[in-house]
Amino acid sequence: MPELERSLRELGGELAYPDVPDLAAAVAARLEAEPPRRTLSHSRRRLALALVALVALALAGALAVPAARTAILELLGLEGATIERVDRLPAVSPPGNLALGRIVSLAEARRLAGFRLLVPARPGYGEPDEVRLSDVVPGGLVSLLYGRKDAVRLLVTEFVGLSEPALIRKTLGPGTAVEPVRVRSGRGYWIQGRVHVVLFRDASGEVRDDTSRLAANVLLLQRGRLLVRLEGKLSRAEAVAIAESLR
Amino acid sequence: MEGRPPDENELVDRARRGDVHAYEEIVRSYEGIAFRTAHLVAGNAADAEEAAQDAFLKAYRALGRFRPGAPFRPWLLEIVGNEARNRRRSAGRRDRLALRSAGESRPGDAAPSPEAALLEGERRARLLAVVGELREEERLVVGLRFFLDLSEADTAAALGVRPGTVKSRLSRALERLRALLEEPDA
Repeated sequence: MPELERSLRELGGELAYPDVPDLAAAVAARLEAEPPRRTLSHSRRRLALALVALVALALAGALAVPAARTAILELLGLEGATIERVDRLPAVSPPGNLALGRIVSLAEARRLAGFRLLVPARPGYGEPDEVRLSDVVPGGLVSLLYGRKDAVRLLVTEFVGLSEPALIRKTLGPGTAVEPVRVRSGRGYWIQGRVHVVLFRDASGEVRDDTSRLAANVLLLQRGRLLVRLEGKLSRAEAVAIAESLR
Repeated sequence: MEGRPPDENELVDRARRGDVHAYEEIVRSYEGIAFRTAHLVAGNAADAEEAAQDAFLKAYRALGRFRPGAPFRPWLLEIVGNEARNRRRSAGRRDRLALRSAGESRPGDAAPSPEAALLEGERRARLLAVVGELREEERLVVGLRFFLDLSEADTAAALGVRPGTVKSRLSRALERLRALLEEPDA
């Protein structure tokens, strides 16, 4: 009955709402104060930087990742004042390229990485078959390979990088196979079977990208300031179990 | 309810190209509805303020993806709704909406007789109370559609659901309200 609806609308006019804060001034101040996008000096490295990371699915055609960083950023709508110096990003590692730095022992990786290395503790995933360390990002990028290069069971990559979940979901749009997943002690994203690029800000504030290495299922996980990727022929439940066993 | 600023498309266009002042104008015209929407969804003013502010910042950074000429309001309200929902998951006080006190009647209202005012006040309080008894998702559609006067499309955007879902939740909510109103006062 329109009577009830009218009463509700009138009621709406009679409610005591909290005062609207001056958001325009606050937002303008924040936008004007944002530092230009250049490498932050050591003194500005802080864990609490508000950072951006995005997951973009490869365009149709399994390995057709846009080559130019500018193209990726335009695709994701990031062009503009917030991102500068796009062309300074390192080359996207070609998908399928598992040469992720030099081979090291697990102990060396623990010692040399600029973060506390997380290792799966799940039965069936004891010591990794190969550990690699690359210094492509500050703090290093560590890869743990289980299986053989031509028959990867699980590939774990981890590095210091921060993501923003709301933007991850937004960027991908409807019909995209990325699901947020609840993982104890972290935010997770389950991405099925597509090569994809993750954009993130590293510890020095630079926007970087990292391509998944296999066209397999991926659980992308934010554990504190670490971005961890679990790639392999895994079911979602297995991937979550492995993620929860990381320590 | 909210007036559109002149040449909103032009302001959006300038903001897309990095003109912070143009964006500030946009924020000014939407901050009211954004904050109130966030308040309804998040449940308290402090979280609503943070949510609305962060939503405006995110919207600015996402302007590159906004299709020029498309309606800005639902696009913005979707971001606001997301932010408010994110904050709702963390612990936070839930405000109860309350009626304005009698002394705050808007200028121009004819002064009612004391009896009429009392009756009207009781009727409104009862209506507000039964709205408060609705399930959260029904309470939200009622609040957004009727209290904040959002369109069905804007309500859907703010809640992150399809317009059809808003329709069905609303009709269930109205049915439930009618049933509750018919019950004698406890």
